[in-house]
Amino acid sequence: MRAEKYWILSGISFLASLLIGTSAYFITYQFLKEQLIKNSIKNTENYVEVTSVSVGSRKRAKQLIGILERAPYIEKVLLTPPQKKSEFLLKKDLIFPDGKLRLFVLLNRNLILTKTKEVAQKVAFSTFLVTVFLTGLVLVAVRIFYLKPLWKIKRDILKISNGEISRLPEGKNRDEFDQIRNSINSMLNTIRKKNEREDVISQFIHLLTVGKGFNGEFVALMRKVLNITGCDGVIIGVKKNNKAVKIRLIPREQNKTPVVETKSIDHLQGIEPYLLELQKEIETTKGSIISSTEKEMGIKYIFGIPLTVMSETVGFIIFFKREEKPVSDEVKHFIRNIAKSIAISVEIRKLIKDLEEKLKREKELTEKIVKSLVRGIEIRDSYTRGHSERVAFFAKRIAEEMGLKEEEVKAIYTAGLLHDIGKIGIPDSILLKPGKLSNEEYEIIKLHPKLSYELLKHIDVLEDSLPGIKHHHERWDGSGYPDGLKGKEIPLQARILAVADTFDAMTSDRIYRKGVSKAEAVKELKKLSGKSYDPEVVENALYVLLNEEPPPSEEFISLQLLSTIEERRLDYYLRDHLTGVFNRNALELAYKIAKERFKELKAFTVDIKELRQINIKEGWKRGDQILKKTVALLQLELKDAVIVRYSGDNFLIFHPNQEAVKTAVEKVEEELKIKVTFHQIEEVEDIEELKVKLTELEFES
Amino acid sequence: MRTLAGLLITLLIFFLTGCSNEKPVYVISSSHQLLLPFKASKFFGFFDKQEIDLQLDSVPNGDSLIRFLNFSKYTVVITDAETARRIEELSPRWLPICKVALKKKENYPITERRGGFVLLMKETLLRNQKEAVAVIKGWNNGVDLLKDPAVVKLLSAEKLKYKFLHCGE
Repeated sequence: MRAEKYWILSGISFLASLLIGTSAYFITYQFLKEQLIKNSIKNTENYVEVTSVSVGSRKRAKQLIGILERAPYIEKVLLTPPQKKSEFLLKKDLIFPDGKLRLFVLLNRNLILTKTKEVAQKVAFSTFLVTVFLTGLVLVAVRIFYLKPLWKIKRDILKISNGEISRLPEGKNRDEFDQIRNSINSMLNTIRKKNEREDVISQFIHLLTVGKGFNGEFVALMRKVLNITGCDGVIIGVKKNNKAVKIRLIPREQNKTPVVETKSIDHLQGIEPYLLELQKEIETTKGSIISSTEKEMGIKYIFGIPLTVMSETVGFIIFFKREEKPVSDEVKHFIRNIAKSIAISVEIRKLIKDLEEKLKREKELTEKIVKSLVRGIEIRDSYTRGHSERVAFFAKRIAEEMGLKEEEVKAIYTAGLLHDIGKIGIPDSILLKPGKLSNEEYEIIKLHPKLSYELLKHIDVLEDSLPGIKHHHERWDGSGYPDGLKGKEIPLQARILAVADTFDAMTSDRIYRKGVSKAEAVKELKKLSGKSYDPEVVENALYVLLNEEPPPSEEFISLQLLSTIEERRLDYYLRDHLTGVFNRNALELAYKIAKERFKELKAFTVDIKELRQINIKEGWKRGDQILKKTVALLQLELKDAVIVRYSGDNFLIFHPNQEAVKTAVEKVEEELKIKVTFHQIEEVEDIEELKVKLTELEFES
Repeated sequence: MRTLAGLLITLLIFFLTGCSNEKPVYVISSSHQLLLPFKASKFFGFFDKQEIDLQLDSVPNGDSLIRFLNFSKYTVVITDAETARRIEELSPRWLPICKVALKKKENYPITERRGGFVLLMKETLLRNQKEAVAVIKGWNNGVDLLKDPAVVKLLSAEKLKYKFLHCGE
């Protein structure tokens, strides 16, 4: 850049020389032309005068003209005026004894102009040469006396940047460049000092904010500060609470160990309490202010600053010397910055600690809320107990096997915990129904993923888990719900949850059936892989499902309380409140129990005749007593029988022995003095068929 | 700074040199004795005082004088009346100023008829009033000086052929 400018300047100088030369040509030409014409006219006039005197007669005018025309600078001599006026024309009146004569002398125009041009060219060329020479001299001088020293300075600065030298070499001439060098060196020193100080401050901040606190590195750094400031030691006090201050004394000497102690605020000495209370800087050499302990240490000068952040004093810092010479203003400024850094760092550390605790508390709270939600559905649906946690475990492990990121695994785990939360909105009659659901009931059950999603969609922390919760009942072939998504349209979370959920559903016991083995469940999953489930997920899940066991779920709610509640709810729903036997809702359950209990299953209907009339004549109370006693007698006579009150005065009894049932019925008639009809139902191999027959019998009666 | 000073000095020298560059006043006469009053004044430093360089030339007769008047340097002529008249006729630039001398012959009283001499000046000199006046005064001063025979003897070995008159008498 500098060379370019120099050469541009050189080019401009050359052009300027050309311009000056050209100007010199035109100026010289104009000036010289006038002068030459003037001189030529003068010379011609003289020549005419001399010649005319020598000729001496008018009669010899021709001779005179002849003589005049011989002169090279005279082109023509006329006796009459020429037609055109010209600057090259001389009119001359001559007198002779024999008369006067007027001559018109035309000067040699070409000769004069040619001569003018020649001279002007020479002058212009000379001027150009002289100008070029002089500007060249100036440029060379500029190069030697200004550019070269500047280049040298630049090279030296480059060396400083590369770390080859630390300062510019000082010159001997004491000229302006040496002054520049000195200024740069002085500036470099200032920058270095400033950098060193800034470096120290930034190291302080780093040390204190990364949580290392006032450790060995801090002590080393503080000793560096002491070297920079020329102080002999520093006392740093940081308030632990409103009652105590942790004090560190760091001496400058490397061989002396720093002293750390915690003092009660009431026991602070010297300027320490003032710094905390007044929140002002204190600088003193007065013995009356310096504490006795400090005097024992030989301290004669102290400069103390409160560590203040946003009007709050978090401690103090005291720099001391063993001589009375105070520190400079610059050093004080530096110490103030150090104090600010330490104060801010202390505050930041405190804030970080508070924040960490708050985050931890929030995380725990979120986990507790999630678990409470899970328990909520578990309380409503006994089948779900432990199911959510098991599904969450399997889903998490499958996700880990598939190499998903930690955040995704966490989201899947949470989705597993909450995937059935929407079941809260499903009525008990469907949720607790032990038998097969009707189509309408199934349609309602199908709403639970969407209900789960709606319930949780406004909770920010659960946002990442929502896709799995909403779509865990979608199937690979598009046969699932709620949106009928297909293949990879289904979120991966949901595909994983579907496998984990199905596996746990298959292996868990239900009221009306026992769970299958893991192997059978896995076999079924493999069978449905690529149809209902993502083959990749199934492949990754097999090992986990076969070989891993979910950890036992923690007792969030008392199991005893839970089972009592569940029992009561089941009773309420499945048992007849008057007689204590199964009600109509539990028909399928009773059938399953009986089928499991008896090798040969037989079903009988027992109908109390005219119970309606008894109720009218003798009151409901009497009717209820008859029903209760009927059941009590039947249970007494038929110990293993499974009894269902499927309508007001009709009972269904599952028992293998017809005779025993007949005897029990007769005993009821005898004891209660009532009439009871007894009927055996043929073909009870299918529950649906049994229902039809019961309906027919009910209708007949 | 030095260059500027040098330039100023050069200009000053040029200015001063230009100022002291006086042109001489050329006088021509048809008789060298007719120039005696001017010579006397010149000799006694009259023209030096007036800062005029007066150059004096003479020719043998009127014809020669007329021929020489073609030299434009001449601005003052002293000649006889006849020649003066001819000059006047030939060139309107010459103007008779005054009668300056009478011819005298031995034993004859001087008469105007016998010879009168006239001083002519060229219009270029007349335009310079100061020089023209100085020339005339110089003449008159010379006339006065020549009244002293010693001065005459000093300036001319010959006997005076003319009686010189003050210009304007």
